[in-house]
Amino acid sequence: MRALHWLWKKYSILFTTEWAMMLAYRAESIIWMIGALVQPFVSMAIWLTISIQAGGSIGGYNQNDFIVYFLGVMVVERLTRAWNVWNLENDIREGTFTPKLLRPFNPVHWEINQNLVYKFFYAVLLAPTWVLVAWIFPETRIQVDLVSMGWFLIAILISSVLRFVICHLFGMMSFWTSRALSMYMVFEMLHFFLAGRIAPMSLFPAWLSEMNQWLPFYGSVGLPVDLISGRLMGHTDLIIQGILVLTAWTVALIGLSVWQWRAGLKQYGAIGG
Amino acid sequence: MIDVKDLTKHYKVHVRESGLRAALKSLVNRKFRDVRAVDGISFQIAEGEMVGFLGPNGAGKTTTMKLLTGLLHPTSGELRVGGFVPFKQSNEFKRNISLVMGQKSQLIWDLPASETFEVHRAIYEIDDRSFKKQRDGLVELLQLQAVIDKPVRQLSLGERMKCELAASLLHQPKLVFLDEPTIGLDVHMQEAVRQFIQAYNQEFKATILLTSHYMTDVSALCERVMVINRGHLLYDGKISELISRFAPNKRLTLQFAPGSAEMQADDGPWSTWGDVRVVRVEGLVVELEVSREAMSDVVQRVLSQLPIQDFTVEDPSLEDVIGQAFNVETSKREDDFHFNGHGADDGDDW
Repeated sequence: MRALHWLWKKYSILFTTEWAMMLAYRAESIIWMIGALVQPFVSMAIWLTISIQAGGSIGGYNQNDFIVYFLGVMVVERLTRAWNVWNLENDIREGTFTPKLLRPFNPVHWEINQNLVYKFFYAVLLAPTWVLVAWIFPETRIQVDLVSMGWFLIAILISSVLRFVICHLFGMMSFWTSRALSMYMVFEMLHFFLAGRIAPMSLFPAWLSEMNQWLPFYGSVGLPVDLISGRLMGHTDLIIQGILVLTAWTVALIGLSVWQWRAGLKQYGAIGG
Repeated sequence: MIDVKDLTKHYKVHVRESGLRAALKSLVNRKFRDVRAVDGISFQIAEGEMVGFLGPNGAGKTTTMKLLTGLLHPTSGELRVGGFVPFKQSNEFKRNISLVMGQKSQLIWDLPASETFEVHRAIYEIDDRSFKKQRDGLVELLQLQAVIDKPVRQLSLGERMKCELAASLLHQPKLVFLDEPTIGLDVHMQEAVRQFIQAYNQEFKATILLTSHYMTDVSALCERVMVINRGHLLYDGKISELISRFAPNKRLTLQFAPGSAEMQADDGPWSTWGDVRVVRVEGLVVELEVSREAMSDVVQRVLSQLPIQDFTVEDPSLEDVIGQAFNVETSKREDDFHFNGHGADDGDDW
């Protein structure tokens, strides 16, 4: 009970501190967010053009579906994304990791809180924006039941954890190499294509979509977007399969990160003082 | 409190020459070299002791500190600090220690230092009453009232250092590692920090290990010093013994009365006084090096035989003593080299 009390206190103060730091850089945060919305807009515009040329529909998506899909990508991408690889890589390379490591609280909790702060900030901005847009433009409205909405929230939660852990794994590679960020960028490219950020999964070749069902990519963006856009309504088997695959990857990679953390500390050179 | 036996830390460092050609070559043929940052040192430090850790840049001081605080895994050797094995990174161990690094900030850069204090209150699980008492005490002792609510990035180096000290000591660590705590501070601020460290040691009976480039820090605070160079412990004992071992002579400076004939180094009366060496002759000022045993006899002769206006007797500076210790060690190693036919230490400075 005492441990829980202190954990709550630690999380409260770290959240407040990270919130204050985010506010210190609020203009930068908003620019980041707007910048991140550009890519889904561009993809949306391209697919709208293609679907018009194809006679109104392609791969089961009409223009309305594409609009809803890429709005979903924008929201899901913002709410599940992680960037701790940059912080961790920088901290380890510059030696600023040392003071964090000396405190009796794993440095990962700082990253978790920073991540939560930004997600909260983006959610506060994005959710009312979508409501406003949907009120003005009926084609952007989503029609899903409460069950799909519940699954969507579960998928968002697990995907957030998974993407955070993946970032953490790449960040911790900085214990061994100065190329951790480059390696993460390769992963990001794969994620960009395979997570459904550039196009819905049904537009990919069948063999790739089939394989992708078992990889950690689709579940992290495509699945929540399919849930919120109502594509998976009535397909409980596919939803459960997607959630299970997502969970399995998350659990396995958390295990790997615990091992990597212990091995990495042995390697840590505490550079620069 | 601290028990270290045959501690070593060796690194493998990737080396390559500068230039594009060397960069391409290193892609296929990476070369490494071993760096022996700490090479078999042993010592013990008792509870409440304040020990100075001296050595030139790259001697292994900071690496030893990092080993003692658990930041680094030793290559070999035994190490226990406060009953804990530091590199196991237990939270209980971390609650009992603090490392203050003059060149590395633990304060949150964009927020006031008071925010870092609040973070430490939660992370170190300090109850409200102790926190308030300790924070107020530190703020008063270090005179931080006017600075703790300013963003850290707006503080001067001295103000920041004092905030660092306060943040590090809020949880009342039993063991404090201070790595260059006065670096970059002006003389007044150095003195303030020294007084504070001394007060903390006395009030909390804390064990303190201090490294500094400023000999005044060490000589003012520590009775015991450890001298390290190239990963080896050259000396461990009292400062006074260090001085008599590596600097058995004192300096005698004579100021002759105006009108006295200018002295010449070789033909002064001291040439017949035995254990005396001329260091410098400049006009009416003569500086002599005299062994401690012969000093009282020489002073008597000076007073009775020479037309002096003033004289001073000084110990050599600690810098000189340390320099002497390193010279002795280096020549000993060179002798080993010639005798054995190979280098006594293949490692590099770290």
